[in-house]
Amino acid sequence: MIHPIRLWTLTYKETSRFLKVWTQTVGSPVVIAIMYFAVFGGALGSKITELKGVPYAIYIIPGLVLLQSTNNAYQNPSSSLIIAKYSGTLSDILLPPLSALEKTLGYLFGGLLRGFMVSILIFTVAGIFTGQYIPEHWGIFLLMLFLANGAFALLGTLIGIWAKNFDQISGFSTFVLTPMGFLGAIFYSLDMLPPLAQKLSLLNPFFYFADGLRYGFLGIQEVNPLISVGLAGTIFMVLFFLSWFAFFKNWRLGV
Amino acid sequence: MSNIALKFDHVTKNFGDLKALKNVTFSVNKGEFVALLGPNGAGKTTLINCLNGLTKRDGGEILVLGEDPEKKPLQTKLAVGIVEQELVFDPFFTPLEMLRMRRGLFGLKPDENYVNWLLDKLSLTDKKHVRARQLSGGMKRRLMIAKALAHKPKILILDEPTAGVDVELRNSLYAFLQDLRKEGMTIVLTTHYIEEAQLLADKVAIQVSGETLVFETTKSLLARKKKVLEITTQEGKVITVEEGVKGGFNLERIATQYPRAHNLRVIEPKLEDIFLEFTAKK
Repeated sequence: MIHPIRLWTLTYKETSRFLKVWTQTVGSPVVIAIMYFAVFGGALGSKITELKGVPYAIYIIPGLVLLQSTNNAYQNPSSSLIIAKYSGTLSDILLPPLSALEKTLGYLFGGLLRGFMVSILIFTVAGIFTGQYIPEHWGIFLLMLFLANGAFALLGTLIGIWAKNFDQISGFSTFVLTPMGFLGAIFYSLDMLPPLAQKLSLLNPFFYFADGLRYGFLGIQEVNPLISVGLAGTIFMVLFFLSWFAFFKNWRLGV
Repeated sequence: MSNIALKFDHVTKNFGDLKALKNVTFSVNKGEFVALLGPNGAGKTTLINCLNGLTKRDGGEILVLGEDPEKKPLQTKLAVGIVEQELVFDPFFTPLEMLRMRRGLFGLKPDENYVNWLLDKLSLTDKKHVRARQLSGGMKRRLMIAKALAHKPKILILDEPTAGVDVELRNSLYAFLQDLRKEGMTIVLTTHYIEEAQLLADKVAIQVSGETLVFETTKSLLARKKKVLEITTQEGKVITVEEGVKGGFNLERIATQYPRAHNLRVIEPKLEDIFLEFTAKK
């Protein structure tokens, strides 16, 4: 059951939290992305001129956007939930009659909006650097942006529900998500890797998010875009169900 | 229609080997003011958490306006406002934003008049645009009450709302609670301050080690203990005489017995003494 006022309020709460400290939450990833463009696009771009027929500085845009935006989509619900656990304000969402579906959607939308804002800003900055603004396939581009940021927002929700301290939140981000992102073929193409590394890359879910978005933005891909969309959609659905189930069971949230 | 606002019927809850609630049974009528007394670890907060669905009870029945909070959480949550024991706030928001959001999270449309009335009633109007972390302890305590009332509940539960609060603020909170009570709100107050239960409550439940030892009207509880006449003789000796079976003191007999009485003082029974007797027995 979804009550529009309850869902709107939770989404508003989760969105205004990050907007009140926008320099940390939205400003910081944009500055980091500019650094990446300067180092990889500028310095490395002079060595690797093209990848798959596209200038290197442009090739890395979708991956860079995804690296920053998914990290922010993950941080929004996970930090909100762990802060609530620490400060005791978890009762703010447990005492009102919010359904499990409303909670899942509220945290998802908060993370999605933060991810989208970061994406738009980095695409804009990248456009200024490279002149590449318009996606090749709008539908796939928007769908992949939604599925990738949504999946990471849901993952952040799950980790936020599961975690008992800040270390677990940042540990998951540092030891799982960041390596997954960097090894997801965002700075290189698969054919630059030895055969075993190529096979291992295909086991990395982040690779499909990045490859699907690259297809949407630039029209080039490593695997069939339908595989990327299908896999991203499946991951999104599974994480959505798990988050809903965790809220439904009040898993690690009750006292 | 039933006149019962809250009903606890043989409610049990265990945390491992610890029996936090043992067959807790009592009910609160609509419009009543009930004080739930008990030392630390008596299970008062656990009982409240079972009522609001934060903790799943192991056995027994809880009804909020006739509905089980575990089966009908959406309806029962709307009926109850809870003032938590800890002063907890989302540091990102101001009192005004918090009250607006609280209403929204309960699915209610904005009501600026009511929200401003609440802020005014709890003397928070001047601070409504200030972030919660900048408020003083007393203001935070009042904001906790405002949050609990933001969705206009029929039942208000206060979990030790006056812990660590100065006398002036405590008195203003008492006056506010008495106003709410006059307006027909059902109130349950858990507290360590026995005198506040004696002052405010129609009924008192004494809970020790998860067990409700007594649930009676404040008046009948006080009647369990007799008044005492304290006589100070001219020599400074202090003698106490309990009132008679039918009440009152036989002053003629006292005057004969203690002709050199210098000072007389009637000591009214205190809920605190009764509470201590119960907890000591346990």
